[in-house]
Amino acid sequence: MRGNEFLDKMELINPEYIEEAAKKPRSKKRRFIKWVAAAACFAAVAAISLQFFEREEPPVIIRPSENEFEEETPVPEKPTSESYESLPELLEYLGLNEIHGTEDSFIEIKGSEESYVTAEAEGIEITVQSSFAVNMTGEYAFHSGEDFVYITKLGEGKTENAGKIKGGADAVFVINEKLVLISENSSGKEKPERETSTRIRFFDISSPEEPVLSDEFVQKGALSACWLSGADIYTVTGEGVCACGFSRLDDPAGYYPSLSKNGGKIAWGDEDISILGTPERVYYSAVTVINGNNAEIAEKEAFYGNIEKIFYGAEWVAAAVCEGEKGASEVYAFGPDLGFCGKTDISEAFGDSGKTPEYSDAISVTEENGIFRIIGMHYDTEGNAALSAVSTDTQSEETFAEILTLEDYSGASVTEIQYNDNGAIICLGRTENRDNTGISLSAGFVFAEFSGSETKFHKSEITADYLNMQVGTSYGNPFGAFETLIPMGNGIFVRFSDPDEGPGGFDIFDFSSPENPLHIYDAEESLSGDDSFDYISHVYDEKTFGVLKVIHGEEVFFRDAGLSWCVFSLGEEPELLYEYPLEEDIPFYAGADSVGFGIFEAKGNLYYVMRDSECAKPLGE
Amino acid sequence: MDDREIVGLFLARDEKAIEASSEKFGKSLRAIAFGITKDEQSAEECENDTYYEAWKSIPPHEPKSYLFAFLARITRNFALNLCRRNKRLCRSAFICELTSEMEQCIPGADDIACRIDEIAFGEAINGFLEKIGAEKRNIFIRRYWYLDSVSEIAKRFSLSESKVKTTLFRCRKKLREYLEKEGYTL
Repeated sequence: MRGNEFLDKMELINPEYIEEAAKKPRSKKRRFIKWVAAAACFAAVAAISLQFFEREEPPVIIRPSENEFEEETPVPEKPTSESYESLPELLEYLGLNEIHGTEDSFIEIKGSEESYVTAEAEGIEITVQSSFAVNMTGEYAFHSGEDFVYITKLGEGKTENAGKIKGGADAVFVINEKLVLISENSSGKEKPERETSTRIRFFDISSPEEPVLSDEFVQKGALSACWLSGADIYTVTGEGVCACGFSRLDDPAGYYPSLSKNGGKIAWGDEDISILGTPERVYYSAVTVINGNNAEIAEKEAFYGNIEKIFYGAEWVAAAVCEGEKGASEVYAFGPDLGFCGKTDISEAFGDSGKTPEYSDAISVTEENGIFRIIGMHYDTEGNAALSAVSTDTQSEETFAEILTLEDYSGASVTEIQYNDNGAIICLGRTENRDNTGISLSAGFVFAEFSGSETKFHKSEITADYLNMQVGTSYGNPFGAFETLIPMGNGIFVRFSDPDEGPGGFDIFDFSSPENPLHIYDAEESLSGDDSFDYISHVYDEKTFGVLKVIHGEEVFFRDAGLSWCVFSLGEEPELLYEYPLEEDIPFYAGADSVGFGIFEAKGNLYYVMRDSECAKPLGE
Repeated sequence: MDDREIVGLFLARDEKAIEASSEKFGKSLRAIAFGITKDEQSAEECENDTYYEAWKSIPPHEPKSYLFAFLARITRNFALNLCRRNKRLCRSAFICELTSEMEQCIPGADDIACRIDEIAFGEAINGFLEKIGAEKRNIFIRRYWYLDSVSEIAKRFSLSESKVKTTLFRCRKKLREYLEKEGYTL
């Protein structure tokens, strides 16, 4: 029988199936959907239109059989892909069905974007990727430089260098009497031969001035993110190589993650691999959890998919996957044992509401009591923007979706999210009348209230300066997420005002009531001078905060800049209490991140570090 | 008018059966034919031929509970044969693509052509379709019975095209494995 005859033989298919396939498919899921059409815009003072609520049919929940005579069947593990069961199956399909040009083959795909940290919302302390750490006695600090990790002996009002460890680090952690250094390394060759891997080194620092290397892991791939939760080190790396029919590797093992400890290979088989959705290429994020006390691998899992972003919290990881043209709209969540908890399809969550997005972008993910909540931007087929909040309860598998349309708000983008006990403050930047530099004109605030799985948005009329550039650059793109809101407690926030003209100043907001936020004090560039503030701050108490100030050199564009630390008190308006000079003659200051500036507290004293310095220094008196 | 009543008209040799069939199923049958031939005139021709063939087939057949499937099958056959005969129709290349996909379902495919008992094959294919679940089954049937394109299927089921392609790929592979396991040689 040949294919032609086989095609004809399809007429033998059961007519019931023919008729079933003739019917238009039902919507996949019914969800509770609530949306708000807000008539007010940020620029105009107008009453917000009456919110309307439309309830769809209750969600379909599949419950275990209640027939006592039926044998209890084990609930199968939820699949992460309806297209592939295993990596070999994915490789087989790509090898037969995908063809790329010569230039696309053997391309090394970098790791996914850094996650937004939401640990504060979970009430569990975690330490995100940081360039410095303090040992458990608070007497020593370790910070990463260009080629070394420096050891500082800390004292009250004074510090001194106490040694160094060869090799820089992208992250520094301390767990009891262990120092953990994580660094990305590249072979330095040209593509496609270049190999990138991430090294995780454990040092015994029971004698802090004489660290002893005890264990070393090498995880293939570029470093995407790492964090410390309790005594567990989480490391996420990204790697990929083309697997199309044109450019397959000879050895299939090359498509698997690679992990070693002290030179010995650690097996990574199909049981530790999840395929997410329908990948169109071989690209994976590999996650390892290493117990910091005994330097043993506690968990590992690799996610293969069209991964756009990795989000994480204290004991969970989520991957936002791009399917087709919809954007990063599918989020796969994994729990403490890196076991699959569930998937949220942002587009699907809106069902037949008429608000199904053309394009969705997951911006932030939080988890509480098994409920994953995704806040994102949502664009309809006409390009209108909206904020969305989609929550999935991993126990009941119910999903709730809420959107807030942003009418009269072109070019909207989320610039910052701050979480509090009951919800979040979302700062939106608005671009209007784009000029050649694309500088936005204003920022506004939306408040999200969380109650179980539900989210309620409140749009405010407060506007503020749009802050999207790191201080050290005059033009160009944002360097990432900036924390422009300084939380003083009790719902009071201080926020930098536009630093383009002089230092600007600090606005004061009362966001204690999401339904009635207040702009208490408007800085209106109240401070004089040509200097600028950078986005590094510290809250001493509810009435006192400190910020980093950049002192311009003789020329513009932050050459030969100086740094000082300014402490303000919060009265009716911020009042400068002290200014401490810190550094001077920094050749090309391009922002705190670029010089590795960071501050930390140890035994009640504040210190700061910079990448090029060999020891930490006291901050202030 | 329900299917039983229309079949009753056929059995009574009442020409109103044709009118009733056309009213209830004409649009769908034309859509099936057009989906295969991509030519309006040919689709209309297939539809008309379907009623004539149905008139000849009922009786002895009495498709009281699945009249649409019965008529649609006739339309499909006419449309497929028309495509094969008339290479001018642009879908002839598409038919070749489908037959090539179907080749992948044939276990132990080689140059030796064998015949399979029709009843046994019907049992085999329906047994397989029962196992794979409703969504995969509908996708498979839309592709290889209704001859929809991948993009048409993706739109119908609100899926990405790559997901449709991989679903079909897996179904073909699983059908082949199923036929091998059940001992059907083709």
